Amino acid sequence: MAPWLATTPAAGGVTEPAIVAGGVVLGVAALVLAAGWWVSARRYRRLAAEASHLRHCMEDLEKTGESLRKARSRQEAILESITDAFCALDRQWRFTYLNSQAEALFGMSRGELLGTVFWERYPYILGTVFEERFRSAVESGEAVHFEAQSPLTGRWYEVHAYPGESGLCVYGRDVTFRRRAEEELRESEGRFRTIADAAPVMIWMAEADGRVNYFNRRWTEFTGRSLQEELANWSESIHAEDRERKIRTYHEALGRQAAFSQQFRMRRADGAYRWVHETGVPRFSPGGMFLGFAGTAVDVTDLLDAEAARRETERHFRETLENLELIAVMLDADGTITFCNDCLLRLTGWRREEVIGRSWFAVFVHAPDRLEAEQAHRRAVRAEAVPAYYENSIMTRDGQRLLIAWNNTLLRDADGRPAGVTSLGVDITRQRWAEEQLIEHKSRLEQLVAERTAALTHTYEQLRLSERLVSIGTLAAGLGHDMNNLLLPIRMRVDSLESLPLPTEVREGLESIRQSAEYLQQLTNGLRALAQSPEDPASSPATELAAWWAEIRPMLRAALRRDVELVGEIPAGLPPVCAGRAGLTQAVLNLVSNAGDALGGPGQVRVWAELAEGGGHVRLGVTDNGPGMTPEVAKRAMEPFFTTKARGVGTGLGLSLVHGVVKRIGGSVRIDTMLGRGTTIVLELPIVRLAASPGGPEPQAVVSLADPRLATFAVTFLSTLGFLVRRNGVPDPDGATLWITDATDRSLEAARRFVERDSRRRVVAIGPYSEEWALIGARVVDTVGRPGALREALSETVSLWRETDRDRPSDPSVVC
Amino acid sequence: MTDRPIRVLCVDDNLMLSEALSLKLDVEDDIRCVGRLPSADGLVDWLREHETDVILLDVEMPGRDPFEALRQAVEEHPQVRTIILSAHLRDEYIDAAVASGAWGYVCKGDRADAIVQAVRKVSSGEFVLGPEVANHCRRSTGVSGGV
Repeated sequence: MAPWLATTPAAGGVTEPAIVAGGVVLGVAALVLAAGWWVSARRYRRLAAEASHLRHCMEDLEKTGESLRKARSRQEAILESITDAFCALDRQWRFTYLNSQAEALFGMSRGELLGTVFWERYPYILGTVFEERFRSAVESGEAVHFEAQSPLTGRWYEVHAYPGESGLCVYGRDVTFRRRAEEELRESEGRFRTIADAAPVMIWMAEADGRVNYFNRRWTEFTGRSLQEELANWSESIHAEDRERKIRTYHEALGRQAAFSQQFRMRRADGAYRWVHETGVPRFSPGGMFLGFAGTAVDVTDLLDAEAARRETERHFRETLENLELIAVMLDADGTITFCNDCLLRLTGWRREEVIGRSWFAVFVHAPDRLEAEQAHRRAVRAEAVPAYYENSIMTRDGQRLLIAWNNTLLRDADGRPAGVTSLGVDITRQRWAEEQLIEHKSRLEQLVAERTAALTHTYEQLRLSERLVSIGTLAAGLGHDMNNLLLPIRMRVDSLESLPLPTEVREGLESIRQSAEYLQQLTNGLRALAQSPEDPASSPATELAAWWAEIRPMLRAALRRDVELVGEIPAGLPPVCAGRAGLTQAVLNLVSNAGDALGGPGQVRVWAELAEGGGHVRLGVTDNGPGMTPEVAKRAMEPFFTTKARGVGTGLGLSLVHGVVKRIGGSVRIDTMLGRGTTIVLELPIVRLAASPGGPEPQAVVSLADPRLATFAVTFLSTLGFLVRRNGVPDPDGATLWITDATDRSLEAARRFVERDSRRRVVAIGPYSEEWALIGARVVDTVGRPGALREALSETVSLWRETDRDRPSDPSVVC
Repeated sequence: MTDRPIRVLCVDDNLMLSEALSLKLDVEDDIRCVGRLPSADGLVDWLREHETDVILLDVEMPGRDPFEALRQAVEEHPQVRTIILSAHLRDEYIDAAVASGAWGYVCKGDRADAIVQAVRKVSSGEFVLGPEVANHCRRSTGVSGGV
C-alpha cells in the first residue's frame, strides 16, 4: 500500500499519512505551518523530505514492533508448548508471565497470579530451598539449578532460575516420578546387594565388555581377598592348572553372549584349593542389548567327595552283591520262569535249561501247595499287590526243602501294566535252624540262670550269716583275750592268798572268788571255741564231747534266759566225734538258743549225748520242753530262710546251718517234736576211730639234735602229739617211727638204714637242703630265716605218717 | 636243782597281772620274782644288771617288739630261759617264740599252776608248751586222743 500526502485546509503545511497496517491508518506525519509563517520551496522540499523520512522511520518502527510482537507471540507459543512450567518474576517478585504448565503447577490462572507477589501468594515457600536459591540467583546474577521438594505437596521439582534485568525467569519440572524411580532403583540395588551378600553361593556380575564389576560378600569371604583385589584381578584365585581353561571358557561365552558353566579349582582363604562349579548367564536390556553376565559359583568339593564316596560305596555294594549267596529269579504274570541266576541252580541242583520257560510252581513248590501258590501269585500280580517280603519253602531237585526269605518287586511292561515279579531270595534254612536252637538254648539258659540266681541268693544269705558269725567270732576272740588278761591275775591272787593262814570265813570267800573266776575262765574258753573258724587248722576234726562240753557250757548258759534251766548230760568216755570244735559249738549254740526262744518262758533245755547202736555214731541232742512244732513247721524247719520268728529276730538259717555243718562231716540231723510235748533236735555224729588202738603201744620218735633247745622243743612237741620220745640215741630199728636229726654226713647213712627197714618210717633232717637226704625220703628242714619251719615239718611229717598208717590194709583202724 | 631259788622276771604291760604273778611265784619256795617290767624296752638292760634265770614275757605290749628284744637277750645271755606268756594262741607266735630263742609258750588261760610248773621245767632245761598250747598243737596236727 502506497503512502500518500494530504494537505489540511486549516493551515498551511505538509501532511504525510501515517503508517498503514493492513489498510488501517495508524497516524499522520504532518508538517504544519502556522499562519503567517513562510516557507521557502527549498525549505518546504527539505521539510517534506524530512517528513517522508520520518514517515519511513515510523514505518520501520512499526515493522520492528510488528516483528517484536511476532517474536513475543512465538516466544509465548514456545513457552506454552514446553513441558516445563515457566514463570517470570519482576524485581519485586511479581508474576509478570506464566505459561499454562505453570498455571497447572501453581493451581491458579494467569489472571489470578499476574501482578501478585510470589511470596505473598505462596508464603509456605518462605524459608525453603526455593526461596534461598531464588534470592541467591537474583543477588549473584547467576543462574541456579536445583531439585527440591514442595513443602506443601511433597512432590519433587527440578528448577532452573535465570536472573535478568527485569527479574527472574523460572523453569520448573515435576520430577517426582523420576526421583521415585531413582529411589526405587537404589532400593532395588540395595536389595540386590543384600540378597546377593546373604546368598549361600558366590555371585558375580560382569559388564558387556567382560569386565567384572561385582562380587558378593560370599565370594570375598571365600577367597579371603578384598573386593578391590578381586575386581582388579579375580583370576589370581584360580588354580594355575585351571586358570587358562576358565578364562578361555569365559571369553568364548562372552563372544557368543551365551550361558556357560564350568568347574575349576579356586583357592580358599585358608589356602586350600576347592572345586567350584560356576554358571554364567547373559544379561540383556529390554531392548535386547547385551549387558554382560551374571554368574554364580558354588563350592562343590564336598559334593564331589560325597559323589566319589557314593561311587565307591556303590562299587563295594555291587561287588558284595555279586559275592553274596543270593537267589535271583524273574517270573512272568503266570509264574513262568524267565530268568534265574547260578545261585538258585547251585542250591537246588537244577540246570538252567531245565527251568527256564517252566512254571516256577511246578518246579520248585511242594506239590500240595502248588495250586494255591500259583493262584496267589497270579492274584498278587494282577492286583499289583505283590508282598515285598515273605518266607517260604522251595524244593531242591532231590526233594529236600530249603527255607527262603524273599524280597519281591513287581515288574511292569512298557505300558506300565504288571508283567511279573522279580525276586531276590536268601537261603535261611540253617539260620532258622540256628535261631530255633538259639531260642531253645536261651530258654534253657534262662532256666539255668534262674536256678543259679536262686542258688546265689542262698549262698549270699549264707555268706551274710557267715559274716555275722565272723563278726561274732572277732568279738569273742577280743573278749576272750581281755578276759584272760584279767582272770589270770585274779586266779593268781586267789592262789597266793590261799597259801596264807586265813580265817575260815575269809577262806570261804576266797573259794567263792575262785569258783567265779573259774566259771569266767570256762566262759572265756567257750568264747574262744566260738571264735575259732571252722576252717582253722587248729579246729581239730575230732572233738571229745565231755571236755568240749565243760568248755562251752558256761557260754551256752549265758545264751539262755535266767528262767531257763540248762542241763548237760554228756557222759565221759564217749569216743571223740568227727566234728570240729568250732563248727560243733556254733551248731549247738544255735540249737540251744533256738530251744530257749521256743520255750518263750520258764523251762528246761537239755543237752545230752549217747553212743548210738552199733557204735559208729554218737547222738548229740538238744531237747526242750516247750510247745513243740506242728508237722508243717517240722517238715520245713530245715529249709533255708524258713523261720517262725518275727522278721528281724531270726534269719531262718539256724537249723539250715546246723544241717550244713553236720552234713559236711557225714552226719545227719533229726527232729523229734510233738505239739505240747517239746522238741528234740538230734545230731548223729560219726565217731573218730583212732589209728593206734587204745591201750596199744605208743609210737616212738628219736630226737638227735645238737641244739639242746630245738631238741627239747622237738621232744615236747612230739610228746604233745602222743609220741614216746627219746633223745640223742641211735634210732631203734625195731621201735622208732620218726627220727629227728641234724643233717650231717655221719647221720646220713644211719638215716638211710633207718628208713630202709620200714617204709613207714620218717626222717626229719635239720640243715641246708641236700639231695642225698632228699633221696632217702627225708624231710630236710632249713630253719635259718624260717621261724616256723621245724614246727611245720614236725606237724606235716606226723600228719603224713598218720595218713600212711591209716591206709595200711592190714590195719583196721582208720583215722578221721 | 640248786638251793638257790629260780629268779624270775615278769615282763607284761598288765601291771595287775605281773603283780599277781609276782605274788604267786613268791609263794613258791623255789621261785622268786626278782623284777617286773611293763614292756620289752628295758629287758636287755635289766639282764645286764640283774641275775635272772627265767623271763615270763608277754608278746603284745607297747614299745619294743618282744621277740626282737628276746633275740638280743638270748644272744647276750644264752643261759636265761624265756617263757612266752600270752593270751593268744597263734601258730605265728609259737613259731616266732621258737625262732627267737624262747624255751616255752604258755597261755594266760591256763591254770596258774601251769605257769609255775613251766618256770620249773624250763629252768631244768625242758621246752614247755602249756596245756592250752599243747591242745592247740594237737588240733593243728589233726591229733586228738592219741596218735
